[in-house]
Amino acid sequence: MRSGAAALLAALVAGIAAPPGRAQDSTGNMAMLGLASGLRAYQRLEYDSATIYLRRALAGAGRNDTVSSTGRTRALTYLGAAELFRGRRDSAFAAFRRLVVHNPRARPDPLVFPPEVTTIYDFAREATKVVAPEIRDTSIRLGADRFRALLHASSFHQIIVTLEREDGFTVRTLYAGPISDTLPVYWTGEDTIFLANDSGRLVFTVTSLTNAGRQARVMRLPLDLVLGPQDTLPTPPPLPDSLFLPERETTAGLRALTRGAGIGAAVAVLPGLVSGGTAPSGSRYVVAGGLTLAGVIAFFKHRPGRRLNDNVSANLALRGGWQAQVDMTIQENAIRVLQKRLDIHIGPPEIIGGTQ
Amino acid sequence: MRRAAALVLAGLLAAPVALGAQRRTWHWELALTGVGMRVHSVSGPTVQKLTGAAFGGSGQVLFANLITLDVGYWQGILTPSTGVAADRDVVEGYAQLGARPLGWVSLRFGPHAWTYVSNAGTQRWFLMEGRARVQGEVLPEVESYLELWRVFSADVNVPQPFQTGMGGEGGISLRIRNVPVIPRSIPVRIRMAYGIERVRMEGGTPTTIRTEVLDRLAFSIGIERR
Repeated sequence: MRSGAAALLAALVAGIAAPPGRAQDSTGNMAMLGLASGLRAYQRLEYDSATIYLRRALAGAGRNDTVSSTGRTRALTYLGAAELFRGRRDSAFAAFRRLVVHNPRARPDPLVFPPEVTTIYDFAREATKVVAPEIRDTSIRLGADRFRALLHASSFHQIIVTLEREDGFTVRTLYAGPISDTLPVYWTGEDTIFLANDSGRLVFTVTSLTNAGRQARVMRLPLDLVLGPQDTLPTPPPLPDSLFLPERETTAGLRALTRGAGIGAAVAVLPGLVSGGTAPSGSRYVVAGGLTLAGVIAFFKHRPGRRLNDNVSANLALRGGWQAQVDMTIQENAIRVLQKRLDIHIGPPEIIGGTQ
Repeated sequence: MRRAAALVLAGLLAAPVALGAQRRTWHWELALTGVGMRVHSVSGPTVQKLTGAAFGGSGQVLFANLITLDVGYWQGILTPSTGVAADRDVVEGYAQLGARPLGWVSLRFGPHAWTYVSNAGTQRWFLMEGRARVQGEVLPEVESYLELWRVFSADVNVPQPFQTGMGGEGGISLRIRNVPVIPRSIPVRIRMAYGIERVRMEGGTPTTIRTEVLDRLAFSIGIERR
């Protein structure tokens, strides 16, 4: 009894003390280490060892012990090549089929692998009919935007793209026909009227058909949908006063008068200031008169309170531009109030049939 | 003298700091100048009044809207308006370096010299001046300015030593853009200015006081690039 309690205590302490993240890292690293070992063995032309390491890396040892998507692509590519060099053509073909299913866009690099490898890969790709979707979580405006799914096919074949309810009822067929490489598929979101509330789920389904017209593979992507009001645009803020030009003269006339008549007066009294009035020349009055005249003309041209028509026009144009922005915002918001926004969240895919 | 020179020197030293914030461009101005001169020379009991005209040119270079270099030169003949004294040839010039800390204020410092040549001999006046100038736009193409200066030292080949000196000038200028032949980017500027300068020298007793008053009415026409 005592020994059992001690063992339980030791297990609890060990459970508390052991950092879980580290444990996951170590198991995750095992798969990546297996991949690295497999690649090294392949480089040394030890194809038997390479296949063992690569298969171990692909199989993984636990839930978290998996290679990344890129690592899986590399592992399958090298596994197919290694199997071919071991003389196991069927195994190589199977490995490449797995590669095509995992990533239809991946290709063995022709600079790295010889033509025998790329040829068998091409056969595998031709024989494997799969589609990989490129879809992201997004929001669309109902009636204005479209939801877009980009489909990548492994090879030419027929597909049917539908939106279904979870019970399998087909809400809308988005596309039925051939696909060779890449195909964009659009959905306007109008089928959300099938939703009982403002949220629900539809399933985006891509069915790949064999040459005989049978279902080869079905990929189902759940779309979690939430309907909400469309965001409205903020009204443009009022223009700050600093942007407007003065519409009437204020002190410009007085300043000009000072610069003209003021300096003119100074010139007239210069001899008195500088030389104590000794032998002043009358010629100074010519300059003083010219300055005063210019100042008086400038004063009347810019007399205080005079309307500045150019500035008034410029301010009117500024106000007009702002008002146009406000009107446009109001119109846009009136449209947006009538529109709804559909948030689409993509769930994990479910694959039925074909090579996983 | 020392204080004013220190002020000008400080302005010039501060200029490179301000240069970084300014647009590095050159502006210049060149003008043909005609000066109507009146000289009122009092040396003890002797009073001489001369009038005449001189012609020459003047120019200004403005760097980065801050540093200025002003030069001018003209020569002519002065004729006595009283008495039977002989005519004098007059040659006058200046070269002054300055700064324009604000758009409407400029300061400059440097030599201003003139020479009278007559049968009696040559009289040379060499003055070191510090000038302050305010300027502004009266109308869109019309500018006015007022300049005051002080003479800090003078080297004159007369018996009396220098005592004080000061002067002032005010003027008006008109810029004309649509002049045939001359490109629109180089407008023509016509300027009219009146200036007066007084230099006083004193030998110790009242009878040896010498006062020279120069009165100028200047017209110039030139081009500028701003």
